[in-house]
Amino acid sequence: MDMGTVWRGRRAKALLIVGGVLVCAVSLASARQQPRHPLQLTGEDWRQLSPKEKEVYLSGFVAGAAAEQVRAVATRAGKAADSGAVSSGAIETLRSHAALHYRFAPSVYAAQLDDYYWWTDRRVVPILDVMITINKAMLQQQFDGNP
Amino acid sequence: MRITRLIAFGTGALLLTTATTQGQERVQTIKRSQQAPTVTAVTSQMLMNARNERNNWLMFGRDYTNQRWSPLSQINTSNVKNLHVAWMYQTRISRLGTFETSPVVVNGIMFLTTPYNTAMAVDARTGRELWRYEHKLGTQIFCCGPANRGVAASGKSVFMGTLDAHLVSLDAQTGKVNWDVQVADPEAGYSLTMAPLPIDSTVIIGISGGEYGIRGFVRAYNVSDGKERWTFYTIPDKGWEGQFAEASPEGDNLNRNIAAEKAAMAQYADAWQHGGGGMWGTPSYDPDSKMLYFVVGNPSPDLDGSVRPGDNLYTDAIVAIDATTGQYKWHYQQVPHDVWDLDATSPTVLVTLKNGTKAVAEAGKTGYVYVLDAKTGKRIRRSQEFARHENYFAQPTAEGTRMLPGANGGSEWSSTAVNPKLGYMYVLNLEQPMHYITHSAPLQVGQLWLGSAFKAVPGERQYGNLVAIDLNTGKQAWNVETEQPMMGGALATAGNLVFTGEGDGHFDAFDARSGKLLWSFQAGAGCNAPPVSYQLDGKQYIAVACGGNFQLGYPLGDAVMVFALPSSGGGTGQSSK
Repeated sequence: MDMGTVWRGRRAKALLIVGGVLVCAVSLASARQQPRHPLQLTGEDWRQLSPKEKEVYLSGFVAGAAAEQVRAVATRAGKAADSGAVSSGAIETLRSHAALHYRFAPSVYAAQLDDYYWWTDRRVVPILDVMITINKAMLQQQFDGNP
Repeated sequence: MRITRLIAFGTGALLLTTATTQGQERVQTIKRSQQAPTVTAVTSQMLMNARNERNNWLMFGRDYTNQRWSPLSQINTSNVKNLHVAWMYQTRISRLGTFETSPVVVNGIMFLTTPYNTAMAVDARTGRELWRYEHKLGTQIFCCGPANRGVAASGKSVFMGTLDAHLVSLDAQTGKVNWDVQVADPEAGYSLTMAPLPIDSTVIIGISGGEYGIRGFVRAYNVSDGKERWTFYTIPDKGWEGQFAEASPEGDNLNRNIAAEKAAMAQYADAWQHGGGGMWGTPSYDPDSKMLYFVVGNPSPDLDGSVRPGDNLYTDAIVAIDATTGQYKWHYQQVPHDVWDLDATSPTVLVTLKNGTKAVAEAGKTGYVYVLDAKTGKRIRRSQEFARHENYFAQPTAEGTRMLPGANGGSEWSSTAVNPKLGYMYVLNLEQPMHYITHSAPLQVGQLWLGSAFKAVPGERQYGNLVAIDLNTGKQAWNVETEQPMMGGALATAGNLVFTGEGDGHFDAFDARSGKLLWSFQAGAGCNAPPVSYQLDGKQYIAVACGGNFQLGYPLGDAVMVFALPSSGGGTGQSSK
């Protein structure tokens, strides 16, 4: 084998290795850029959000929870197909009777989440789990006076 | 036979008559006065002259100075040992909570509130209930246990703030609702716990909810119809970042990363909109200057300062505004950019120092009494510490930094009292060493908002103190250690006494000059409310709510205890003039 052949071989190998690394890097980058399911967001994600993003996230959370609550109520009443029973009007009825499960303002939840995730070892806990816990505690307080 | 029957009948009738007569002689009817006292209209003049109203306790702090100083001396150091229970009232509420009401007494009628916003009127001579109003609470969330600190009285009405952020005006004679206004949205974290303050034709109240991302404010309403008169926001819309102070006004290093905070300003430019700044304590007021003085609570979020860069004005501050317009006058921020929950919570007190200077004094969670010039807010002095300090303003570590004061202070919401003749302020403190750590214990449901960055140091004793601070020198005059951390309030009287209660149920009287314990009574539940004193028919009474404190775990109850000397006078003493 002459040196030119050897050199071409090593060059090809190097190119292959570099190419492989580049492909991996691109793949990883793509993986990071792929949006994750909201249920997977944790305290680390929460702390990356701007205040506006936090507000939007929580507004969506509260609205979604309200919609699901109304749907569940309608289903239990056998009215799941009734567009009136599953509607913003139905949500407003629950809200006006202080019957929404997630009834507090986004700013309330935001302040609680900010404090909760101040603890470094809590930042792996999914936001959803913390929201459930926070909300349960606040609702419980209204009934028995225990914070 | 007929005659026999007649004789028998007659004898029987005679016997029955005799028996009945003898029974009537034995029966005694216990008659108690059933006539309810008539409500006296509380005029502006009465409120301005409240300091000299010997019979009454017309507002939260007795008069506009908030000194909780009674001019009554029938009960004094020589006879307080004979104090006994004159009567006791039990509220019979179904839900107990932190019982912090400071009774208001107007010409024989005592007005009270309970933690879940029942208001009642009670005959101040006998304890007989005259009426009650039960507020139907809507959505509410609250920090630190449900509580309510009392009513305001103006005209023939009394006013109460509620946990669901309503201000209610009640007819003082009947308890019927005059008007009911929603002050703010309780679902956004707003709540009312303080006793309102009546000034002329307005009633003033400040909002709570600093743990929930509110924007705090104090507001004046018309007494007559509940219309808003003015609002002052405790979180300004411009300038809340302040000067990025690296130290407290007295020079204590705050250990801040100013560069990081400034770098974060753009990202958190709107943080002020949910900056916190609730009001826990009833303001003091100077009718001469028309200035209102109050304290502002913690910023929000309570622990995470990274999302609220800057000094976070006017949290943790003493603030002065014009009481007729709500216009800002000055502020003194005790802890810029607080991340330790050492906010200002004990009510301000107006005093006149020996050199004639009008001053505002306040006992901080920081463990110091601040004495400021009432006109300018300039610091006259910061007292000698009334609570110990260790690693003051330290940053948390993974291992835990032991810090004093702990998250409850210093002085918590407890009302102080002042003896103007001695120049002493009587301060209730908590000695609770805590670890300030970055890593939490496993999550405990329901404890997210108790400033849980602090953990009690295992095995270390907690206790309290009643401390007399000489406002003219800043030095401690005397210091009495108590078995438990103190929370509630103090009362000072012209009988040279200081009354206060403890969490284990003791209600105590101390010599105001020396701190010597002169009398103590075990009430059966924590006496964690500010006591008051009033006079009726020449007899002085001391009243205090003994219903415990949820936050500190003191036994809960629902009793209001009222004490007096025995009718014979109980020894030497002066009759009240």
